[in-house]
Amino acid sequence: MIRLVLVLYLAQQPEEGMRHLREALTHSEQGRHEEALRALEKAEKLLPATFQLQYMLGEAYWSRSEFQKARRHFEAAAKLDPRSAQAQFRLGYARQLLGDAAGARQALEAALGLEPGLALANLSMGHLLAGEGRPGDALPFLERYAASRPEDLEARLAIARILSQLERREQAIAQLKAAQNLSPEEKRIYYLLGQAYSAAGQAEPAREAFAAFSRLEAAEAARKRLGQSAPYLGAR
Amino acid sequence: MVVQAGIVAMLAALAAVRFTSVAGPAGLRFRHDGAASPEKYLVETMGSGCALLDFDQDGQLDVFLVNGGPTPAYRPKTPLRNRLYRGSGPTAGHKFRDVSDQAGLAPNTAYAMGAAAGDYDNDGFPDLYVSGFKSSVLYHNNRDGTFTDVTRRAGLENRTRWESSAAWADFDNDGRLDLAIANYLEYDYSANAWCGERKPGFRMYCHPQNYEGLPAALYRNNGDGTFRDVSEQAGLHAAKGKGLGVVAADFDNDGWTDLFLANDSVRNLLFRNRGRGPSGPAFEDVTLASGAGYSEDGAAEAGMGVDAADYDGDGLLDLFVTHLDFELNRLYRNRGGMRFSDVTMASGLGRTAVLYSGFGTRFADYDNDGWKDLVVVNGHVLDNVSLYRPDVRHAEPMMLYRNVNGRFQDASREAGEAFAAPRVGRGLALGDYDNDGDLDFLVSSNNQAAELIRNDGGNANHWLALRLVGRKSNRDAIGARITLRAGDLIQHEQVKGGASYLSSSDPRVHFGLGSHAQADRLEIAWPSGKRQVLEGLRAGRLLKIEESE
Repeated sequence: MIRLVLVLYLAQQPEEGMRHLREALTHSEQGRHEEALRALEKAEKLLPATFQLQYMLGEAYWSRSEFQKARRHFEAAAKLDPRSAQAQFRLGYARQLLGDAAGARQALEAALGLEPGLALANLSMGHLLAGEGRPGDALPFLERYAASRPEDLEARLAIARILSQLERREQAIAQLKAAQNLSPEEKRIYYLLGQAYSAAGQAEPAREAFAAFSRLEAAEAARKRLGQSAPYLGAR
Repeated sequence: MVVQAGIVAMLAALAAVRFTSVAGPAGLRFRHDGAASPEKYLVETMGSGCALLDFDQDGQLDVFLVNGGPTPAYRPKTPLRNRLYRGSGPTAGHKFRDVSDQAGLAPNTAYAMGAAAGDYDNDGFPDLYVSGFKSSVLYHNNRDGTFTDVTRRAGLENRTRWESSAAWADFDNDGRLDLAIANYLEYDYSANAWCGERKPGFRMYCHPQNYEGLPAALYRNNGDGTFRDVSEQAGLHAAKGKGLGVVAADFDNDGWTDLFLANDSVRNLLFRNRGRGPSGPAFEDVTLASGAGYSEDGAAEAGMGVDAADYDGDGLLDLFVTHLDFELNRLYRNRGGMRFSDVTMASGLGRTAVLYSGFGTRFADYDNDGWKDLVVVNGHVLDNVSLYRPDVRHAEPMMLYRNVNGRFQDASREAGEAFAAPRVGRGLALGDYDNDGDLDFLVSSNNQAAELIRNDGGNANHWLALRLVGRKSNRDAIGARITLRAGDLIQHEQVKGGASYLSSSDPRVHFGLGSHAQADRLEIAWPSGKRQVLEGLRAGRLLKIEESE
């Protein structure tokens, strides 16, 4: 949708700025994010501040992990078009990542006010509320997201974690079993299952789940060892 | 009206807490040398630790700062040295004087890492263990201002292991301090790899996943100045780690000191002490079921520093572990029975430091309100990290989190310049160096000057400090569990071994009492099993309590 609006917008802009923007679009579509960013930065100098340009700059900085800059551009985009649920969501997500919980909530509420079914905004809001120690409030958002994406493993895991926190252990175990069907080799499922069984006092299933987790973890470690010379960076 | 006035007064007091960097004026002029080289040896990233201890028992805290050492790519003309600074009292302005030469500290023949102070021979003076890369030193305190290197005689020679943090604790309750050591990984300069992009300036330090881990070590104190390696018999060889942080504390309140190790990129380890076995302490690895080995959903993270304290007032010690950027610093709430829940998000800590890499950390009630706050020193491992992650910096500010009834609020911005200044932070030690009733911080940074960060205003609330002296128990009283009641404020604390990263803190136990001018009741459960109760203790003083006969 954003791309379509951008193409329409391009037709109305001065030639050189337009050229840069077209280039940016092409680079971006072909996965050349560095080149896309350079073209966008040139376009920004020539064109008036518009929603499309700010949004694309936000995306470009985001892809480079420059979250502060990305936030600023999403902020600008949201200001230029307050009816864009997508911009509000991206702004909320950026703020969330940068630790601004209050700002994130404000933007996510705006996004969901404009488009209540916006899946990722529901997911972010669920995570945000869970992060504020409000698992009961977080659950409906996560469930809404999971209903729209039943195949999403992360959603299942997030719901299972919330249910465990709420000590609804049988339901947590059911979510994890559903997750197991989606991705039987995902080690996190077995860790959470082990914790849930263990908390429920079911020693044998807990032991089995932890054994599966350990097996998968060992396999993963062996794969990592094969890929030597990894640089010392934290996991994303 | 009275309640409102009290709240207003308390808010005013809290608003006044500021931290000031005073190392230079206080006479601490120490710059760490990390032996940085184009070879990018992993050891260069680690920094070294620091310690606050009263080595001459004059009632004033002294400072010990660990330095790096030579590597194949770095042979300084003047050998690098660890430094000892003697603290002075108020009449001398709480200044420090370098007494390293008089104390008999030798130059570093290898890269030194951490410091752990503990009175292993129960003679009333703290001794000092300095861990290092394939070379470590045990300094015996001669009680006359000097130390003697007794490493070989004590049986603690290290020629093969990369030791990081160490913890003194009496794991078998025989009245003598044993020594637990976190070992990092198998590494040799000759097998150094190239990591990162092959273009100028882009070479990086290699990730620990490129190297094998090592099990932790435990040395049992024989009581005659020697130690015996009982790591295997005690059950520590059951699991390898890549240990950087260690804390020895009683997590299930059964009277036996347990052991937690923060590991870099592999799971942490939690060993439950099952009591004295035939050859000393006997541990059980309870990591998996405990929930404290991984993040909430089973991810092993880059554990660096660690501390344990009862942040929520339920009588059980909780755990806090610092990590690299994009891995959250984790708070594990102790739910009893050696089960922990990752409450990082729910506690308010969440993503507040997501771009930072945390190292030294301590729970510290900096505002004396009776709730344990949190301090974290940060600094990325990679000097060129910004080339790879533009939002991440090598030098980073410190973090201060205020505990408000069991939830944490980021108070770093209000803490003053000392917290805001970027640094490649590594070690953190805690103690009231000026004996004014609030907790100060000693910080060591990689390739940078050490800092003494003075707390100004924390003593607006009431406080009580305890120096416990064991008789049947070990003299440092490590392992003692303390419950303090002041009005409606109930606090639980332990004298712990280890904690933070490569560092050693003032062993005195500090309680903030808020608006209470006295502690109504103090109960001490000594490691020997003896219980001692004191009542009606006036606030605002340091109390020496000897274990009753």
